[in-house]
Amino acid sequence: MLQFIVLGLFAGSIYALASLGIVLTYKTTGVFNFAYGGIAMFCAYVFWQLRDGWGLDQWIAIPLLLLVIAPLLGLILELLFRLLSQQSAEVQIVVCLGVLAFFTTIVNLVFVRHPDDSVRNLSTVFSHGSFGLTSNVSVTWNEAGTFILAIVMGLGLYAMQRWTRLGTAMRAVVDNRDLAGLIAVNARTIGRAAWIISTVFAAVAGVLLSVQENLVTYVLPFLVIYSFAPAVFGRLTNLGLAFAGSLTLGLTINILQKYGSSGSLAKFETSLPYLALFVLLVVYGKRLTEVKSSLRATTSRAVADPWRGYVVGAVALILALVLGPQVFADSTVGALAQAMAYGVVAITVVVLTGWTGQISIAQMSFAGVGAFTTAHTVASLGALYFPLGVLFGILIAVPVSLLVGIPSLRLSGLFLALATMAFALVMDSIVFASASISGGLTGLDLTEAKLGPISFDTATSQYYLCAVALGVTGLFALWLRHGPVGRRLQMVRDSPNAAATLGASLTVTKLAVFAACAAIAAVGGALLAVTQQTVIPANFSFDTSLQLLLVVVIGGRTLISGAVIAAGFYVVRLLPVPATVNKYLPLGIALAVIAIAQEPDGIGRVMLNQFQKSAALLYRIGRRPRTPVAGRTSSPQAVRPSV
Amino acid sequence: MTALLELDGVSVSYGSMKALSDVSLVVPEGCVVALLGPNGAGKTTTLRTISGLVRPERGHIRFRGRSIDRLAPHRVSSLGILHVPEGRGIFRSLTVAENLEMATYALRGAADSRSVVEQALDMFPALRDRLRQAAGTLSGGEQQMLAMARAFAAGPELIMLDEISMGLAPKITEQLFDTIRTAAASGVSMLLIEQYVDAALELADYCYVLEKGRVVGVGQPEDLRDSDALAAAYLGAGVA
Repeated sequence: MLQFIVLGLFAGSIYALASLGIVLTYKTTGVFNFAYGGIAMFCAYVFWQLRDGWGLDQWIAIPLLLLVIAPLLGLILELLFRLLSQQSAEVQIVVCLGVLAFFTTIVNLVFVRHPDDSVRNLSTVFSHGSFGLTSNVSVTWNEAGTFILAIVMGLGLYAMQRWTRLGTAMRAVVDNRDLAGLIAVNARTIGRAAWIISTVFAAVAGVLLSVQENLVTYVLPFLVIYSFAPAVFGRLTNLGLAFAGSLTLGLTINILQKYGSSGSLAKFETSLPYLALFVLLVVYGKRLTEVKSSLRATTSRAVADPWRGYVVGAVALILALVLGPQVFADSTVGALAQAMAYGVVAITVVVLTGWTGQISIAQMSFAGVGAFTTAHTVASLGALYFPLGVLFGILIAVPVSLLVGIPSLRLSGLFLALATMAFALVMDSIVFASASISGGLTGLDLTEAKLGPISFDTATSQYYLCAVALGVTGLFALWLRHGPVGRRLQMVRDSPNAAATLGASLTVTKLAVFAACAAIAAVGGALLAVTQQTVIPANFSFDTSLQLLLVVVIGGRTLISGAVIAAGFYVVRLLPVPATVNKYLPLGIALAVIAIAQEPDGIGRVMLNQFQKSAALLYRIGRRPRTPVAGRTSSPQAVRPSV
Repeated sequence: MTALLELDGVSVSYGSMKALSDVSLVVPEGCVVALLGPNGAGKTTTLRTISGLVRPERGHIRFRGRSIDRLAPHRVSSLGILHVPEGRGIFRSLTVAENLEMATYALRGAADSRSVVEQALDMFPALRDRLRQAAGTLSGGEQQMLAMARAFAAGPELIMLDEISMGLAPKITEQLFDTIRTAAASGVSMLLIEQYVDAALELADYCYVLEKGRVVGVGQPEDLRDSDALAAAYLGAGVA
């Protein structure tokens, strides 16, 4: 038992460092750092490169990392998020997720050149070896060192906050930002200090974690997400509670390990931090304090998709529908079919993120529900029961979405994003990881699907199926937007208080939209299953939900065309494009999301503006009289169409 | 008599709403200037604009001849313009001592925090017993004393007080006014907003009357006391 307590305190102290860093930037600047895991991992790799790669002495590498590189990184992040302070909260969250994607991809590009590099050892920074605590319990110097370092750093941060001039000023800014300015405290300097300290903590946590878990690109960021739960436990503002929560979490996980290292309890272990995060968000609900000091309230520009755009879109879709299979090779048609299925899921992101201001990082999880349910139904009942499988998928996805949605409704913006993130990770680690549900890593097969007499076993038939589904989903989304539901949602987005005083209780509306989006995502998942013919858990992981959100944001989260552009990104990955394109595409996506502050409405909006300009120009040219009529001056302004 | 602070044709809007239009006023060195006027006249906005919390649309603000209308609040306050905002200008979660120590940020020149705290406590001895207490647990009067103590301890060039008497018992208000009188006698320049017009007229060397974001009257208290402009501003044009 004592051995497990030792391990628990050791693991907990790493989570503690991470959660302290997260809480510090949140309470001082109002930015919840979703990218923390990515930053921690990046720093760990930098340390590896300095010490093991280039062979620098450890006592040169550590100061270089903690006193130069990490603070510099902190300064860059501070600058980035200060530039974003004029944007709405959603944009800030999305950019933060973009930063996460950036760090995970940059590590893969820079440090993992060869597949063999994907798992690397990082030897401890402390002495090797161990000492005996009792006759049969031994503690390695690494564990002891980590624990002591965490305590020292935690106490140091506490002492800094409590007794130094900077710490007092930091608490003053947290307390009342405007007032701090009125007595000559520069909130920007304070924010910079918070970012620097937080990034240094990330670097330390990253290195310590990598010593324990090795340098593995696809594991480290998730382990740092473990510390989100204790951070929320401290209501994102209380350093002491976050620290205590982290140790408790470490202890709980390791003591569980003592009792059940196999079976369902083992799965529970890995997902416990995510479950804890979800439960804490639900339990705390409205009592969580949202630090808004540096944020502007969500405002939407009055944008109306012009009907002209819809007509052009519809014509293009119908043309593509008819011509596609005739023009392209079979493999391309198959890729397009998959992309359209993906587009169906992407539309739900547009509806949620763009129109209702709810950030969901779990849409691919809902798609996975649809995909696996359909695959199981078809496998046990036969290809003819494909529609029934889709229906089952919807019937499961809707209650599940209510489970996520009902508690999350009390939360807003950031907290809904956290709740969906926790949900997606729970799905990954419990549901999709269960071989009986998902068929393990290799997944399930879905080789044949039928709708009555029509069989979807060729690329062309799949193509038509997905095209129809995409069209119907698009129309449904438009109805949601322009119908009574859309007006209600717009009201909430623009002014939640005003909407409430008008008696518009949106709880049910929002919940209904969330559930509808889950249902549509489930259908999209079933279509993906049909087009891919196998259903693999990795295709419906948290990562894919995150990617989906990012590409939709780039495409334009307020426009249907944003979803279409997102589907376009998906096609690129399937087509035989040069390897470098596939290699650098994720990096490009991450960078584009980080740059999205310039045009929060994405590529779709830019294209639409161009389209409207050229349409207006054409219109003007068309209307211009060949010969000026006497007594009438033709001014371009006079005939400019209203767009 | 030189102008310490000068507003020249300052206009401010909140969105489409005009809060100040073409406000010009002067605070001479060593004088107490009061802003009078009904609710919504733009008094608070004037102070917020001077301290940099609100950006003027048009016009200039000069402090000792230097333009300050583009400076961030922390820059303005480090010039020695200390603004005690409406409500209680304190950090509720910090202790009283910490609140007072924050004054050192506004001090140009080195001064250790202890002497600053001492100076503030001399002004309001009642705070001495409360140093370790969280400021949010003080009574309303004590909170206001704390806010003023911090502003005065920072060694200000100009103090701006926004309705310090709001919500306080008359006895405490009188005590705060005494402090203002003492400070004024020692030559501290002040710009203040006060709901008790008589008190304001008694404290001030000059008064400006604002109405709907415009300056509608200016003068020495004795001239204004019975003037039509003041009554009109508060009671409506018809009365005059």
